[in-house]
Amino acid sequence: MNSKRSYSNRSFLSGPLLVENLKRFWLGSVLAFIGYFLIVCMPILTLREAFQINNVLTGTYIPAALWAAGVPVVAALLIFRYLHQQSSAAIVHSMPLSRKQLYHTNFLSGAFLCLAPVLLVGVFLLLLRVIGGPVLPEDPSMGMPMTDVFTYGSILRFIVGLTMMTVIVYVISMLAAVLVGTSLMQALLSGILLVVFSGLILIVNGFGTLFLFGYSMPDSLAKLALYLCPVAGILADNRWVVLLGYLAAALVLYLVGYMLYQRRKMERATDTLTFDFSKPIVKYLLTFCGMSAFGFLFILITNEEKNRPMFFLGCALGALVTYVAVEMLIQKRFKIRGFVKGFGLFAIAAVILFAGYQFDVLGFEKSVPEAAEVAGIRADLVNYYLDETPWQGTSEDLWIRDEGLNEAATDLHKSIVSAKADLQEIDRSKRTDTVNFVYKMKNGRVLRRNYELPAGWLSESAEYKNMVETRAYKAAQYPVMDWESAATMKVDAVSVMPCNDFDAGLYGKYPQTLTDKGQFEELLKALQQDLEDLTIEGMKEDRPELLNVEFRMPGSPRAELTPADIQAEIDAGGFYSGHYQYREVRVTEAFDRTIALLKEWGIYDAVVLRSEDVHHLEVVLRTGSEEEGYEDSSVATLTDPAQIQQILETGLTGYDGERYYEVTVFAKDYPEESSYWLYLPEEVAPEFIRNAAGS
Amino acid sequence: MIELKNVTKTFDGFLALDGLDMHVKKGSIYGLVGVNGSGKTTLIKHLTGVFRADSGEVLVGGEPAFDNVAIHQKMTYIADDLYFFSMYDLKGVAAYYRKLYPGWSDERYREMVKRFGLPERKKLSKFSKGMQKQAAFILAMSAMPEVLVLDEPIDGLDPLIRRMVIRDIVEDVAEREMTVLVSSHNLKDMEGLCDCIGIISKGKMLLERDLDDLKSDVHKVQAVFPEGVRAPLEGMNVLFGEKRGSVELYIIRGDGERIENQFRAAGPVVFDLLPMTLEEVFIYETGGDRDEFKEILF
Repeated sequence: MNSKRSYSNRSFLSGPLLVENLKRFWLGSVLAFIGYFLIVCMPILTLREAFQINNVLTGTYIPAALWAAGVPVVAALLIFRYLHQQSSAAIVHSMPLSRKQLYHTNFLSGAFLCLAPVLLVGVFLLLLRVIGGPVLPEDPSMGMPMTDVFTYGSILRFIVGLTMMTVIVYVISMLAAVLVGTSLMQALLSGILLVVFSGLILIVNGFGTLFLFGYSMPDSLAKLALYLCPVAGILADNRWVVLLGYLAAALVLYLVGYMLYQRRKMERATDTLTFDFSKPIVKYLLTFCGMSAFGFLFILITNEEKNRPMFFLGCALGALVTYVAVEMLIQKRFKIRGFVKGFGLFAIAAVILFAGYQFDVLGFEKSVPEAAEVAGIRADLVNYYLDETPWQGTSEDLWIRDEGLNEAATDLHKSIVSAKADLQEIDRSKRTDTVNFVYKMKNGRVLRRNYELPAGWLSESAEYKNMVETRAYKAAQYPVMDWESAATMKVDAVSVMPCNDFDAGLYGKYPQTLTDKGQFEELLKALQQDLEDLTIEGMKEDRPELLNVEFRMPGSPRAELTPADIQAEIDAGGFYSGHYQYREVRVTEAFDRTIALLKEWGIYDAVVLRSEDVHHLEVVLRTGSEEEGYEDSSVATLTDPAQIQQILETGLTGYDGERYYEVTVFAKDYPEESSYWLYLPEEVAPEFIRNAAGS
Repeated sequence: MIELKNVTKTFDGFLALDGLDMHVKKGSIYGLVGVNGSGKTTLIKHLTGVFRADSGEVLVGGEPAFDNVAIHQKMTYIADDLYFFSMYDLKGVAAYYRKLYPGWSDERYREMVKRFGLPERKKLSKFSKGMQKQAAFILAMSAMPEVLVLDEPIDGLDPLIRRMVIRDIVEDVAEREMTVLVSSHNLKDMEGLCDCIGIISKGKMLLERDLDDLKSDVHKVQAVFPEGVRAPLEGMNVLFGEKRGSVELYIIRGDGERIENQFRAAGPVVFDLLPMTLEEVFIYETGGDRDEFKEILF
């Protein structure tokens, strides 16, 4: 009996090939499902904990992502293996199957084999949800919403995320299969394609950090690096728009792979690379990566972040080793041809690149915007002195739009750039300060610079003082400055809390909560006036704060909840950090009005550490350094209240000089215990200490 | 049926096919002969649509062969370097071929499996090389192709099986007008199988001849003449001649009857018009001492 089936050139797919692929590789699909089941389903099934489920379903579960990346790579290896042997390539392409049918059918069958387990996992999770019902967090303190984490929506998004990850990795592996002539190279190239573009961005970023004073990785570049690695991109962000973006990218790569498959020369089976155009690309790309990796490795070995001679030495060695290795792989011979010309070209290009960085030919370092060109400046401008909690507003709120601040910030920026020679070489074993300039320019561009400066330089900078004392800057750090009243901000509680630097309870200091709304307003006004007058000295972090004032307000309601819903939830005993927001003000000796008010209310003494709360102080003289070790010598044990008070009022929270006094504060009621230390540099230490030390 | 016109193919600077021409008539068995590396397999892979020519045309039934499903449905190919999907047995591959080749005949398949005595359920990877060749032959023939392409098919087959294979091919050529292209590095393999021969060397077709024409045109004459009588060679195209004692041997191109008449008229004591082997025909036809021929002849 003769078969009458016929498949023309026009059809995209070959039914027989599809069925054959499924018959040949179904076991792989089963193994993939077992893997998914163990990685995804078992933890949910056995533990059924909200934290675990949330961890898995929010797409941040690395084992599932790695499995979802590994399965399609292996599937593509198996399905396209025929391309990598002369005999199989010849037989398969002599059969009544067009290249179009082979490519599309192999995609479809591979995708089906990879995705069937994912879909089965999805069905299993849905069944689990139907049977088991919702899962709520066990403990409110976990910081999770007290809502169901095992929703149909979260299951769907998780499965779609895995699906997208599988599809794009499979398409990339298909592209690799077409580009290379051996299965080993396919596996290697699949891995390389998945990370190389992100890696290039990180390398360029590393060069910037190494060579350019003030370089800071732009947010856009960091995001690009993340998204260019699809596994990491989907892992970090599985929003629908992102998944659609990857779908579009997969489609483009699929079409590129198809066009290449149509042009692939089957005689190139067993060659390392099957297209001549890809040889210089792969060769120089990998040499560049190898060069950079060795360069950074040499820096790591020397443990000196900016050791450029070692970096160049590593680069030279890395480039040579990688170039020779890649050429041997491509040419499939030990004695490679065209070394002098090929490597010479790369070496010249590398020298030009590094010379460009070294001499900053693009003028990056000197590029400081004029104040008139600046639209706004990021609120987290300077990570120095202030320990504000991260801003919780919208991204637009992060931009401070104030001409005075623009002027002051660009002045400071210019002063840093002009002092480059003094600031570039810093001792990282000692404390450093960081200034992070992020400008939103009027043309929409974002300009970012980051400077790590020697400790002390900023505090002596007139430009810095000028900047931090602008009202706009202070208002960004202390949002309470702009509050009309506590009532309009719906403040429902105010806490006056002891200093953050010690175990206050040990010294008999406890938070005091105000409930009188009249007191809220009075305290706010006092704080606002103190903040208006606040100078850089009052902001300094090297002295422990006296106390903290914390305003509590209802948080921004979640979209699906009305304020009444939130209140009902709180009343029912629920807790969700998002239900409240807090604004804290760090109160130092400079806050005269606030201190006077708290004293008047009898709160001040209950929270501020005084000599009466201290049993005694032990003072030791510490000399030496972190590298060479310290030597301590006992100086004095102080019990005199006046001396204790003087030290409490002058001691610093830390000091990294090579000679200073360390003071241990022992609690009055627990004279054997201490959790508080102050530090006195020679120039700050009272005379009686210096005398006791004999200096 | 098969036509290659000025086909050129280069592999990394190496000229594998150099303006090659070939013509295979429908219903003929064409022997493609050449030393290893002469370009036989490259030519075949163009014909079977695996390779794309750098220039020139590769036509089967008047249509380009590359990536042409319609042609591949009518053509089967047995490679020198056989390949089967791993884990597959003969029955499994047959099931796949049944779906791919519209002309597939279960009847032919069952008959051949029985005749060759191959186990259907044994994995093909466990077969010996000879058994794999038989399996490939069964599959190729069961697809009832219009064109059968065989690359070095005789290697690894014992004489009995070889005879069966040749018989099957000849029968299909006679009954269905199947066109066969068979390659070998040795002319002796082509003896009794081909009706047309093409000799390829360094990517070029050195000559293409119809064997009937070739054989009927060249003759081997052995004769003994009385003393003083010379062989009547006037007007004859003598390719070769020698005398061993009283016996004279000549290879003469021309009409056999005329040669015989002319010799007999001279009154030979002994006269024989001897059959020639394919090898002998080629030796004398081509001069035989050219390097390109030595390896395929001896």
